[in-house]
Parts: sequence; structure tokens; C-alpha cells
Amino acid sequence: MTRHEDAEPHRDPGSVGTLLAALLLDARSVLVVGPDDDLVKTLVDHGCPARLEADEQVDAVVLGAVLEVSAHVEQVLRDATGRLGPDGRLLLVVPNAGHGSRRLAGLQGADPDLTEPRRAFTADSLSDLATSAGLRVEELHATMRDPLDTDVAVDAHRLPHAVVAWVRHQPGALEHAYVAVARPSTADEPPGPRPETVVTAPARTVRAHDEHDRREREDRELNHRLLTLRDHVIGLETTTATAVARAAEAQERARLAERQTRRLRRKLAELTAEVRTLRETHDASSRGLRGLVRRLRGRGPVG
Amino acid sequence: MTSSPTFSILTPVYDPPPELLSAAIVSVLAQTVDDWELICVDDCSPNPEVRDVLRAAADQDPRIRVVERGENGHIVAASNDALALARGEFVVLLDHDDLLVPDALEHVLRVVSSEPEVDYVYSDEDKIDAEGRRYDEFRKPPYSPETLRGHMYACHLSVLRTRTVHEVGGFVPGFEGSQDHDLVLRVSERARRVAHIPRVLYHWRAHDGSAAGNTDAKPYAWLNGRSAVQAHLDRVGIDGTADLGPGRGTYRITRRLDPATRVSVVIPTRGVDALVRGERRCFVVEAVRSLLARGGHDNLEIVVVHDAETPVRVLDDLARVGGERLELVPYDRDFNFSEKCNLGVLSSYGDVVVLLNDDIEITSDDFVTQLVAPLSEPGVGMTGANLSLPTGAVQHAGLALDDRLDDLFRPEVRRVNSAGPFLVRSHLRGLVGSHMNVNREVSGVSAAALAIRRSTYDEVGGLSEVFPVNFGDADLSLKVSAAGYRILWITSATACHFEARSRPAVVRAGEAKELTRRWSLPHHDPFLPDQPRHPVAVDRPRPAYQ
Repeated sequence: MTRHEDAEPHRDPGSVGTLLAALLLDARSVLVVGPDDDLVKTLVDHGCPARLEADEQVDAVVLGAVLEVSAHVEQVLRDATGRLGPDGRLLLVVPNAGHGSRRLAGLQGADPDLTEPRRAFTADSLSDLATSAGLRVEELHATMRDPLDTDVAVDAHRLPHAVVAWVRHQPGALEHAYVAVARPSTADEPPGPRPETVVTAPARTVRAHDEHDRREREDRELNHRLLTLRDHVIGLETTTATAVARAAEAQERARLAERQTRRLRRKLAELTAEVRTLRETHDASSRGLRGLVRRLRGRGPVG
Repeated sequence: MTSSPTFSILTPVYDPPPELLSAAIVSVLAQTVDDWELICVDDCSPNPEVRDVLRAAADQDPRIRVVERGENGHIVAASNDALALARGEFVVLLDHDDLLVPDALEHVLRVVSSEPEVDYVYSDEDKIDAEGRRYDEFRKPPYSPETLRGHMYACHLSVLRTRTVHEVGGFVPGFEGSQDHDLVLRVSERARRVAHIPRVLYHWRAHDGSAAGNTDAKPYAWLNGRSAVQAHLDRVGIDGTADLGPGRGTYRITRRLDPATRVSVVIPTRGVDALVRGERRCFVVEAVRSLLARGGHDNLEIVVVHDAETPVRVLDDLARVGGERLELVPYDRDFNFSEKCNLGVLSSYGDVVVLLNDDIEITSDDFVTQLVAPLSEPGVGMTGANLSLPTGAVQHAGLALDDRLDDLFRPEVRRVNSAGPFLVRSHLRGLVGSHMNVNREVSGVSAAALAIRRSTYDEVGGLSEVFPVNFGDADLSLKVSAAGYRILWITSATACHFEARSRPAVVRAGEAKELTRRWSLPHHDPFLPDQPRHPVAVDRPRPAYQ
């Protein structure tokens, strides 16, 4: 096993026994097929009329820990269906092959499916099996367990905490065992969609708050700093690039302005020279005019 | 003429009014560059005057070559006949009754000379009526592959490298009426570079028999266009369907999303409620409810980042509605929208992140699927939703990121208003090509509802916490674009945005200044086609061959 020492589930994630007892509240007779009588005892303790053997037809047949170890699953389902009375239901109990504990064990090189169970089920494959056996799954329930809180052998200390955190947050990774409530489908009944899985406790309340979780939170803070730092660097780069571009624009404008100033200065110089020339011409003309006037005045009246 | 010209103008001809055909030829003769040939293929026009016009033109100018088909083969056959004779480096598509502006080829020549990798060039266009009046100027965005899937926006003038056209098989039978759309799609798949000339170089003739004058004139063209777009999706490996869009000539792309794609929806909130349509509602609870009802994608993780002041009853309601998909992340610092989003993203595990405001109600089915699926296309970095206000008015059709942000510096402007850059200009609905009806590239999208790959979000440093209230999404968009990704606005992912109901809308001048300090914004957003352009002077050609 198994259970990681630090694992502290937040809330009771529910057990198969209590879940079955709740589902079988209305049943008057229940036949339990399983490798041992522990399940029967649990059900009886909860007031459920469960038995290991029954000659007559029953309201419900529970296949507990059977399908995953049976070599003839279809035959088992046919036999179980044959024991049902009118409106009777089959309750199929299987461990989830996709539970986080198995994913983590697989990462560590273990192959749980070579030992037990021999047959692996997920919510989809269990539903498909039932449908192919002529059953209609009306409800699908799941008990919940943290990946480090099961009997599957996982050496939690050897696992990177980010991997544990990631697995804990994958869809279905905390669904430990499935209980499918099914009934024989009628001949003309089309296969329906798989019902939504109803869990015994929300995943967010089942995940353990352990060392992995603590280090994951530390990582998150570090990643947050990394994210803001990256943004800061990008901001500096873009600000610099923008400033350089604006400086280049300003320099270009300054260059244009300088060129225009030079042109204007040249023009001004030309105009000044022109004015000077005009003034000189004007002065010369004025001098000539004044001389002419003086000469005319010096002659006096004629006649 | 012995040497090959730069341009081969291809004009399939079938029964145009002779004077309009003549005007089209004159517009070619009036080009300011001489380096062209005009190949007219008459597809058995019943009116003998048409051939008279063509023969007269060919007699007058050796650059004009005329082919008279023995039997009518429709536009694809006629276009391929013209293509087979083309000797130019580029083919120019000219319809038999339209007009080129005199310097059209000169502008194209300038582009292809300066950018040798250009394999396809298109320009802006307008329409011209029977009296020669120009209208409906269509200002187009830069090359926009997603828009091209939504409608043939590039259309006129289209100039394609001849070698590439031959490589993709020329005009393909079966796409009559949309053969140019099909060809441009195939060329664009292979083109090293596509260039847009933001000037009107082409006048599309509008009369009763033309598609420009009557959108019902060629109903088969729309259906064939749908097939062309579907074939394009299949070729480029987009898992999706092209359907006829809500506007004639438009196509709606519906993509499929791999069910294994884990999507994390991050919703920052403080659990506010308000009266909406006469009912009191808690925004975040209803946002989650609508997300689960209409998201269309089961592999969801909903991360609600909630302020410490969020009422417990809201958190309980969230737990009840969100079920197994819900993760709650407490936030106990001063309000910083960007930081809340970043913490939500860092607390999530999806391959793709959707940022969603808490005052959003999703109003279209498959919202998540349509928003997220385009991200599987290489080069697409971010997508944004089509948001409306409760009044039905458009609230968001992409961000216009240009220097009109400067308006916000004016001290009297402190609140987001209808002219703000986050809101689409109201007259956008009426633009040619129905830009509101097709997915398209944009400069940015609102963080009220956007999708981005986690790797991209990390790469660009997430939402900048320098922007606690405003412009974080504008900055994110600019970062994503600067990293070389395209940003798409998805018309079919619709939601109602009860904006500013959960928090007062205030624009802080400091944030706007920080944005323009970081980024040099263009004068006009290239993807928002309302920028004023100087008019193009065009001499109206006189018919010469009547």
C-alpha cells in the first residue's frame, strides 16, 4: 500500500458499501455476487436485505468485485439478469482503471492490471459493456478517493509534486469505484447516452492537502513571479523599441526641420541680397534724381 | 511582341453590353505602365457586336489577344483558355465589364518589384453604376486568411503569380461563379507572401446582370463558393464545416474540437448581483450556468477566482451549479483584474484557457467549442467572442488598437463610452462583406471572453498586472501579435455582456499612458476598415470601339 503518510482527505469521500446501501433503500430482496461476504455484512449493517444466495427472483443483484476478475463477463451478466424479478436492477461495481492512484503507479513502472483487477474499466467502458449486454445504465455513481489514499502501491515520495498535482486535477482521476445501476433494456429501446457520473463528494473536497499540495502552491507562486517578470521584460523591450522608434521619428522630424531651416535661411539670404541690391539700386537712383533736381534748380527761370 | 510581359490580364467574355466591354479594354489601354498583355476569351457571346469590339481592339494594339471559343464552356473553361495563353509573370483578373484605374498596374508593379516573394496581390475596390458614379468603397484589411474563408473579400483587383496559379491547377471546374475565390484560396495556401494595396485600383460594374448590382444574379456562385471553402478546409486540415452564412456570399465556419482538449475557464468575481430584466441575478452563477448549458464541450474546468468579500451563498450556489468542474481560488488583495486572471490561470490545468467576465451570459450553442477550436490551427494565438449589450447593440467585435486611444488622455474623459476603443463603431454593421457575419482577424480581443493556449499565455507573460483595471487585454493582444500569432474574432461565439454592472467602468489615465508608452500604435487600426484614405482620382474611360 500505499497511502501516503501526509495524505489527509478533507472530507469523507464515501465507500462502496454505504453508496450501495443508499441506492438499495427500496429493495426488498438483494442478491450479492462477490468474492467474499464483507459487502453483504456492510449492506446488512445498513439495513439492506442483502444475501449471498437466493433461490427466487430478486429486486436487485449486486455484482461486486466480479466483472474485473471474471473471464466470462457476458455470461456473468446474463446469469445475473436472469435472477432479476420484474423491474429488477443490476448494480455493477468496478474499480476505476483511470483512478489517479493507478495513473501514478503506472508512472512508477507498476502495472496494477497484471495483478488485480485483471480487467480494467472506466466509466465509458463499463457503460459500453452494460449496453452491449442488453442493459440500460440509468445511473452512474462514483466513490471518491485521493490518488494517494488507496490500496494501490504508489511510492509518493518518489513522485514529482507537479505530477501528483496534475493527476489530481484530471477528469475522473479521483473517481475510485463506479457503481452502475442498470436494467434490462426492452427490444425496441435505442441505446441512450451514458448518464452523468454522480460523485459521493466533490473532487475539490477530496484532494489531500499534503506535502505535494503545499509544494504545488509554492510552485504556483514561483510561476506567478515568473509570469510577471516575463511580462516586465517584454514591457521593457517594447517600451525601449517604442522609445527608439519615436526617437528615430523625432530625429527624422528634426532633420526635416533643419533642412527646411537651411532652405529658409538660404532663401532669406537670397532675399536679403535682393533687398540689398534693390536698396543700392534705389540709392543710386535717388542720388541721380537728387542731382538732376539740383541741376534743374541751378538753372533758374528761363526767358 | 516577343519578350514576356510582367502582367497578363485575363478577361473571359460572355455577352457583356458592348460599350461596357469597350470601356473595360480602354481602362487597360490607359494604364500608366505598358508592360502587359490582355487576353480576352469570348465564350460564344450571342451578340455579334461583342466580337466586333474584341476584334477591333486586337487590330488596334498587338498586346491585345483575342480567342473565340467554338462552344460555350462557361467562365472556368474560358478563364483556363486565357490562362493557357498567358506569358506574363503575373495574371491579372479583369471581368469583362469592369474598370481598372489608370495606375492600377503601376501600383502592383511597385509592390512585386520591391517584394520578390509576393505571390498574390489584392487591392481595395469600389463599385461603379450605369452613370459612372462610384460608391461602396471597400477598404480591406491586410491579408486575413480567416476572413477569406468567410467571404471572398480580396476579390478585385486580384493579381497572382502565374507559376503559382499553374502549380495549383488553374481554374477548377465545378466552382463556376466562385472560381476566383477557389483559386485565391488555393494560391494563398501556397503563397510565400500575400500583399494588400490599400488603394482602390478597381471599379466593379454594377448593373442588373452583375453580382455587384444584384446579389441574386448568380445564385450558383454562392453554393459553389461554399464548396470552395469546404475544399480549402479539407486541404489545410481544419476539422470543420463550411455552411452558407447569414449574408449572401458569406460562409459560416463551424469547427470541431478534440474532446480530449482540456479547457480551463477562468472567471474573476466578487459575487455581485443586480436586477436584470426585472429579476435579481448573481452574475457569476448565471455565467457558469450558461457556460455549462451552452458551452458544448464537456472537458471543462471552471476556475472561479473570488474576492474575500464574495458571499458564502454565492460560493454555495457556484458549487451546486458548477459541480465537479468547479475550482474556487480565493483572492484577498486589492482589486487587480489582471492578477486575478493570472492566478486563475496558474491554478488551472487545461491545455487552453478561456478568460470570462462574471457578467457574461452565453447566448450561442457550442460557445466554447467555436471559441477554442480555431486555436488548433498553427499561427492562431488567441480568439475573442462576439459580445452584445443587453440592448442588443454590438459591444465587442474586436479591439481597435490605434492612436485614437489618445482621446482617453483628455482629462474630461474618465469613463468608457460608446466611442471608446473597446467598442466597435456602430456603422460597422453596414460595411460591404458583412464583417459582422464572418470570423476575421483583428488586432485584439476583449478579455471579457477570450481563448488562448496556455503555452501562448505563458510565452507572453499573461495579462500584465501593470494594468489592474483597463487595457490588460489590449496589451495582451499586442504581445500575442508581437509574438507572431494571429488573433481571431469569432462571430458564432455570442454572449451578452452586462458590462460595468459588476464593477464601475472607469478608465485610469495612467493605464492608458502606460499602454502607449509600451506600444507604438498605428494611426488607424488596419483591421478596422473605417480609416479615411485619400481619394483615388480616376478618369472615366470613353468607349472607343463601338
